[in-house]
Amino acid sequence: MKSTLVISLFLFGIICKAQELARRPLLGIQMEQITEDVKRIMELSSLKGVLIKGVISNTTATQAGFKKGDVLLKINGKEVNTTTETMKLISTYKGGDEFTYEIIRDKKIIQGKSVFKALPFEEYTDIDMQYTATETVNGIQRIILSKPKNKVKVPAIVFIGGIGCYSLDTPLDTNKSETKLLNTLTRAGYVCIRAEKPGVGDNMNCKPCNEISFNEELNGYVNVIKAIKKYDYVDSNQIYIIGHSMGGVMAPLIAKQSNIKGIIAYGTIGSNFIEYLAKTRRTIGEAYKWNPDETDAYIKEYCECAFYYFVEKMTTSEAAAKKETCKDYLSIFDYRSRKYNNELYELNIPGAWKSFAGKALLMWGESDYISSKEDHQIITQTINTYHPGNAEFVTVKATEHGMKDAITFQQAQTAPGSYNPVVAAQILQWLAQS
Amino acid sequence: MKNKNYLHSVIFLVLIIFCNTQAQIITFNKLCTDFIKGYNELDIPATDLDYKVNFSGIKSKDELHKQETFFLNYSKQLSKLDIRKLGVEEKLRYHQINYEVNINLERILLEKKWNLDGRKTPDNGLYQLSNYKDWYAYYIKHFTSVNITPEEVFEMGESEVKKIQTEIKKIQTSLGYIDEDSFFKYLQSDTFYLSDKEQILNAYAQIDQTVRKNLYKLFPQIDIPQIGVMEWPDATASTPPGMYLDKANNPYGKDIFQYNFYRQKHNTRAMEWLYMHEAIPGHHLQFVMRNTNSDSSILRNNFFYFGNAEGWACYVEDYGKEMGLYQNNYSYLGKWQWDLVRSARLVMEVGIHYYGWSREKAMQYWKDNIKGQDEIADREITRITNWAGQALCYKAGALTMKKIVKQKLKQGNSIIEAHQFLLLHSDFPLEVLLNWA
Repeated sequence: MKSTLVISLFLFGIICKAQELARRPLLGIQMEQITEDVKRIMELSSLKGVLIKGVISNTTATQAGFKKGDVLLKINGKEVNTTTETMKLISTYKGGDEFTYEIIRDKKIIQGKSVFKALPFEEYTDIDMQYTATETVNGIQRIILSKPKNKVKVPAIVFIGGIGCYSLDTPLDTNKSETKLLNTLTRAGYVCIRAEKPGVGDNMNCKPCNEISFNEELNGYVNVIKAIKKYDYVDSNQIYIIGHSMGGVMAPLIAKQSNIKGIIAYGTIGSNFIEYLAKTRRTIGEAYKWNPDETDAYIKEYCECAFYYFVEKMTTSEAAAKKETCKDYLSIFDYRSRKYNNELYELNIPGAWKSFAGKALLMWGESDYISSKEDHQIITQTINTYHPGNAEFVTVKATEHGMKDAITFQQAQTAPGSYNPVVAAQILQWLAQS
Repeated sequence: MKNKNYLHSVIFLVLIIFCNTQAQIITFNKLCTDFIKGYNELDIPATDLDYKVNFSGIKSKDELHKQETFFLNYSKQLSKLDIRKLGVEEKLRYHQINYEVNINLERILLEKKWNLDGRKTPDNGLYQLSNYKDWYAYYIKHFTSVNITPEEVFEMGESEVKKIQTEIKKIQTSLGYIDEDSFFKYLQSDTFYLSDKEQILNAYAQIDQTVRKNLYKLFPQIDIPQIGVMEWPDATASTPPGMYLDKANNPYGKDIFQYNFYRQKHNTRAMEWLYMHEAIPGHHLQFVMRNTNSDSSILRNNFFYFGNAEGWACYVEDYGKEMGLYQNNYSYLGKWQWDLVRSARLVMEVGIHYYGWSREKAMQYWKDNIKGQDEIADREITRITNWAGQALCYKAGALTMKKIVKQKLKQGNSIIEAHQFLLLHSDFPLEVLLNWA
């Protein structure tokens, strides 16, 4: 009787742990905005709703009976008129939740009821995938681990992504650079951890990603690393960070609060933020094939706008009132919160690396026009000044910011290829030596 | 009595021949059914445009062995069939299966070697492979469905480029431009771009009306459903000039022609050839005709041949004048300007994948031969580097179509009958139509 109770409690514990973060729904439709063209051709009465371009099998959409050519008008009584609006609304539900919908099919409105199907998990025959979560300053954050099969305790690599509010949990697209890179490292014997950004994916009780600050996001990652150190298969003395883009800015700051053996920073920023912006506008000009005069004018105007936004603390609209072009130039910053951008501006980015006593690998793709080669060299020089011999700088041939094949800046901008496996090969080579 | 016996013998003989022929057709139909069933069970990945994606999908040694056994078995079965007893359409289908068997065996051989060599995918073109010549020959065949060597493609490209440059020069001269630079600078001006969508729709409606009025002169009379014209949603710098989407493959509920409206402008010089290519008498007519085909073969529409589909759309662009289009020098120039891009692709593609040209060398070739289209040079070179073989299907396909039409005319068919034949056989490899029709 006693043993049954113990087993039951144990199982209950496991179940509770597994259920601490419910899976988000997989709607399973490809969407297109209802434009005037679509309205005219499909003879719709208004621009309301989103057009279903395609339906993925075995998803909520197939379960609900959605078809290509339907116009999705409402979910649970709420109107959806753009892809972003639809995705945002869907993200407020969980797999298993019931919902009502309203669609237009053959010019008639149809109403119905269905249940959200949960997003599947990534699965591989040669890798153990584990989906856990931890309580952080931001709420409950998802941790996705890819673990070598049959290994007891191994070094860990934590991947911190760039500035955008995107999820690293994409089981339907395993060709993403991040996934391919981490799977290669896992197959080479490392447990890899994808730390989800607060407010995206399955995360719970978090503010939306575009409302949190730089430091809140950073502290969330510190909490994640603290949590994974407790996992019995993680060698807590051998934790590395791969900081991609803005993740590379966060990496040394995370290391200040955690015991990190090494940092790999790919396509990152190594000078202070305004300096970085000015520097990379020139490579952006090159990628877009502007002539030198156009690029010079762009940089001059961009710096003026950045001054209004970061120094004068104006909003995008206020800056646009001063200079019209600021509206376009600054709109990218509105993807993150004012507080996030203020904190980023206040940082001494190269200075953050001074106190990092571990090993560092700085990587720059030769077709990366979003970050600069010089920034990676600045970081390398900073580390080696304070900790001689600890940093190494490498370039990755014919590779762009997203770790994909591209021979030139122009190709990186117009049509990058697929993930370049050389990135993982260079990291593994460095890990073997460090 | 003797006569009666003789008559019985003749009837008996005819019956035997008829039954034997019927038996051959039944055997062949069963072979087709089994072939399709077995082919689908092999789960061979569909060819992607990007060769790197194709390499990543190459199956294991065991799977390839299974495929090889399947195709070798059909190779043997086909060789035992007496094709003289098959009907005209069955004969063509026989050659189509034969074509599929051979091209698949060629692929399997290459893929087996690639597995043995350590599954290394080249970054910038097939030239980096040790057996690049064999791989590229396979890619050419796959995308053109024509038996043509890289050397022939290169030569064909160079000769077409020269021919088209002469045509463009003629137009330049007739328009009174002596200086080439000022001519091409003028062509970039806003005069040649529409930014009002209403105007674009009206212009396409006018083109559609003109083509439909003249279509019967060269193409079979058939009821062609109206096509919806719309802007290509979310077009980028890499978006091609236009695209055709048949009803079954789009969400809009009708056949659609999408035009590039990137940066809210549309090139007026491209409108006539583009409509002919994507809509009528190009892809739209081809699609409508294909669905009128009474051929009940199980093979029908099971295979897709780029050379046939794109070759036809490219081929019909030459008939603009007969369709009442290309009435002014600029729309005719637009046709040649795009034809020049397509022809230069042949040279640059073979250059990159077969002769090991660097990107810089390809770019130099572009600059030396294509004036006034620098903004798409980078996109085009990336395309031909990543999509080995695909860019050849337009010109190689169109030139093969010309040969087939010539053959059909020689056989006593009218031009309309020749076109009808091609339209009804748009799901065949061109090689089969060229050699066996």
